[in-house]
Amino acid sequence: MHAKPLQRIVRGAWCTPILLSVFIGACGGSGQGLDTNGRPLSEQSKTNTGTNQPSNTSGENVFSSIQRDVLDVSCATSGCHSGTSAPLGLNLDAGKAYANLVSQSSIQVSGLLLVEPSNPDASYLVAKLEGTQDGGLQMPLGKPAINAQALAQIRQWILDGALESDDEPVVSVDPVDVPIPTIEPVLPTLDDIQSKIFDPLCISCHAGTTPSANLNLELGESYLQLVERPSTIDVQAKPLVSIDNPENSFLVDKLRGRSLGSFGDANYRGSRMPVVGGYLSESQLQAVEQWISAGATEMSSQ
Amino acid sequence: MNEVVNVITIQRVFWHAVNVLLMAGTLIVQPAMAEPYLAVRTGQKCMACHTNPSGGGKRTQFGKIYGQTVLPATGSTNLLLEQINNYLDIGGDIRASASVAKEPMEEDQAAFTNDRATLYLEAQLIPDRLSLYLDQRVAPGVSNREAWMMVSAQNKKTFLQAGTFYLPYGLRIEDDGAFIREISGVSFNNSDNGILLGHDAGPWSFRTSFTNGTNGGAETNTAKQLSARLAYIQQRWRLGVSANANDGADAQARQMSNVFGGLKLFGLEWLAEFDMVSDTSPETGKRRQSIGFLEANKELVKGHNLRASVEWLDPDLDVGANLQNRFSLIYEFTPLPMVQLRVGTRLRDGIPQNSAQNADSVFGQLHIWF
Repeated sequence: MHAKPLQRIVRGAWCTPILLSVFIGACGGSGQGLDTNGRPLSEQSKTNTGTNQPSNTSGENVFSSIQRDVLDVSCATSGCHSGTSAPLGLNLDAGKAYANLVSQSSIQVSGLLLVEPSNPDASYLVAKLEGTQDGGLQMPLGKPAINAQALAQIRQWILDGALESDDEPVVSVDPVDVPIPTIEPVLPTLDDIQSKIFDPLCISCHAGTTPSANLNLELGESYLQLVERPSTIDVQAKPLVSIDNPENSFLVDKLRGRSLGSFGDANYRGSRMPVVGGYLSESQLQAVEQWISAGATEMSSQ
Repeated sequence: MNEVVNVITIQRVFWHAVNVLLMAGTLIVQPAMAEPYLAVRTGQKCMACHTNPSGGGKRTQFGKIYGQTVLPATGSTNLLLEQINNYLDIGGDIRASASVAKEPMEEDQAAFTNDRATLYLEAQLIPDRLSLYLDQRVAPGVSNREAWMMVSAQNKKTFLQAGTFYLPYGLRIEDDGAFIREISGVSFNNSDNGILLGHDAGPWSFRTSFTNGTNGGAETNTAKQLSARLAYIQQRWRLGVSANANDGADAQARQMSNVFGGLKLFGLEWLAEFDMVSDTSPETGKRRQSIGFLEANKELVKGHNLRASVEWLDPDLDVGANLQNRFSLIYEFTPLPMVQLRVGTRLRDGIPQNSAQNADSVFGQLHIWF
């Protein structure tokens, strides 16, 4: 009787050293002249030339160190949260990560912000890194989890307000001689709402000759169809936008998901908006409310 | 005669011992493995076993039968084909793992994880002509992986998909941690919205897609992603090429291309792929990467598969001393229909100043499917 199983094991086993020997001469790079991310050290020298170094000696700000030590190493790598292939469009490359994280809504779990300033427990980024997320998989995907020290640093950064840069040093002057200027707040205009909210997030459905809910939010139409106009679906009969009164504006209810009821109920007021692309961030919601509170004007502010 | 009996007895004892050890072993940690080797082993196209003509996900009746009769050490004659009726069919995968990861200068990590529990639904609205397909991950977390409708000509030789799907590009291996999957971004973790056109003619198989290029994220511009895959399949070998171009926001762009193939040689099933990736951005200019993948599979006896793979990555062709390697050795044991145990190890070798590039792991996985 032939020992066929043993022969098969031998035949199968020799493929391993063959495969290894093919690449044994191409082991990992020596890393000479490179930083921890595999980039030439000379690149950093060119980047630092001419930049304004902080006057204090504490070094780079917190977010910069998080970008360098966590995001660049574990997240914004090729094929992951970098460049055009970033999953769910979440690009965490340097120069883009902050804007894509802070006060931005999660696509995987509605109602959560990726980073909610001052609230790390409610920040979806923390949940994903700690493995306590409700949606998707723990990050970084396929790699060892972020160490406890880095997680603590991220939590503290969020708790401290999730600033992009540390506060600049205060220059001491004689307060008697320096008049304190009155800075008028810059309120969002309809142009801002149109370009930053309606156009990218709403007109995929609310446009054209047969817009959803018969509400056209395209440029030139949105104001006329919103301000002091009744909704066709609101059982509470609120106007879509009530001038000076965001609390009484159905648009705000829809954007915040406020008091919409449950599907099938008699008082159901429809789904939270937008239905695709993720809900609005807190800053975007406040912009809409500020515009309404300021009179919901059609013209741009001077 | 006594010598022959002794040899047979020794063989039986040996394999029973192996089976017992593997069934008792629960230290298994590993994301799922490459299934295209089964296509190479059988000489079939991916669509022979999978509802999705591009491969992956729910299995066809043939795929289910294969998984219950040919793949396991002990096949079944009482097939469970889970078809609700002529119009509805379901399927699922559950993968649970345990792992020990060792990363230089970091604390070792050992964890049990529920890698993925996925349910599939296929609705034949018009049999063999119009179908709806859902691939839904239900744990951990709930997310949709694929959701598309497909209009197809007779025998699915030509079809059009619309919805959310995985892109046609290269070898659709299950190991999303492999360089060819991770660096390209084309993996079972990323699906995109758009349309996909497919055509099969004899040994030829062609797929092309036109999608948002945001991997499921919101589309904020008019730029799109184009991906195409052409393969020639024979009984003992196959060869293919792929290309992908994605224009993103802020003048970013990526182009990828590869050559891939499979071969039955020396009693082994070989898979290989070579990729070139080019990224362009205003901040970094143009960066090119090269990626390689080579894998060998050997069915030792029915239900026992040994796999070895090597990978390499040059993350920037204009920078030296930055090469990365990844070696894997995995043993797969399918004792029963729809149950598979895997044990293995992965070794990474990169630049010494990056500990993640040198992280090693011992892993295993319990995989149940239907």
